[in-house]
Amino acid sequence: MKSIGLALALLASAILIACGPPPPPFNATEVSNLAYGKGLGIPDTDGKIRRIDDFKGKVTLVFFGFTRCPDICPTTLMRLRQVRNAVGEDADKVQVLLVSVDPERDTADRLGAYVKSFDDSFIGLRPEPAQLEKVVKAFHAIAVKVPTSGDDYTIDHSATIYVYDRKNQLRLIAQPTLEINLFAADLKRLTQEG
Amino acid sequence: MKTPLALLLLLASISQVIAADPITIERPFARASAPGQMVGGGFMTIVHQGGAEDRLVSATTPIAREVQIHSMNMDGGVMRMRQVEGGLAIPAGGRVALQPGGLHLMFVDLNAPLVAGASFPVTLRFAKAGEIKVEFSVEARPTK
Repeated sequence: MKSIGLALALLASAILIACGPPPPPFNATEVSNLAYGKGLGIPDTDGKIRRIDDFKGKVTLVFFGFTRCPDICPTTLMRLRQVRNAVGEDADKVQVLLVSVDPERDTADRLGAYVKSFDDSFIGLRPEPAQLEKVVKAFHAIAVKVPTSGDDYTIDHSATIYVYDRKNQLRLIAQPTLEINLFAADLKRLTQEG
Repeated sequence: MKTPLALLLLLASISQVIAADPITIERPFARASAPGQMVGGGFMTIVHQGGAEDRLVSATTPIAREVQIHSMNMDGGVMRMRQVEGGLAIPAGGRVALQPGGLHLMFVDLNAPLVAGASFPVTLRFAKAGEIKVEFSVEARPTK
């Protein structure tokens, strides 16, 4: 009996050595095999059509927002700049894309100036108004117009950040409140993958 | 002679208490606006030392077309913003904080960009306390 136990223990340790310990979990939520946003082409603020697959070799962050959003959108943009900077020397491998949920009011000029004021590397995407619903659905996200006063409206929208790896696979879904250092650590790991 | 003086002092102090504003505003501020940004958020803490509930009913400012009172919350990863219906309740003896990530004033259609270091007046209208004028200072967006 003792020798069987020993053999089992040896076998177990052999398996452990062969496979190595599992990698530590990411701080954001890990996802796999989700084709969110795949194949979708959205005009940037210069009118050029952009696809997730155009950013091969980069870790690409996508999130929804609009310029008439007084709080969470500018806060998220500020934080993403800080996160990107905290990635350090690989920061230029991190690309941030803001998709407007308010293309009717976010003109290309306005959206472009807005996004670039947070970080010159950030890119604003402005779906055609008729395309917006399809874009939002492609990310399984939400964007709903809510009237405020008069003709004015605001937009309830998903505030999560979709993170694609360097092979353009959706890997992480992050909440905008994720701590900057933890978020940066996740991105650094992804930039170091092949 | 002693008594009337004491009485006078007492009366004076009582009238001072009555005359003092039951509502005071702590640290009113807004964030510098980004280019292209036509709205701005306003933040402050409303301190109410009076004995009866009051309401912040509306606000105006010369720097924007309109001021709205909004609540904001995150609900299952979705940002939801709502105009506060019927004004914002200020409980007696309470403090209501308007702060980033929650309740805020929204300055709609800014007449000019909000520049860090500048300040602008806002008139707050309360149901009971009436008009209170405050000066909002514009703070730089945190960058670190």
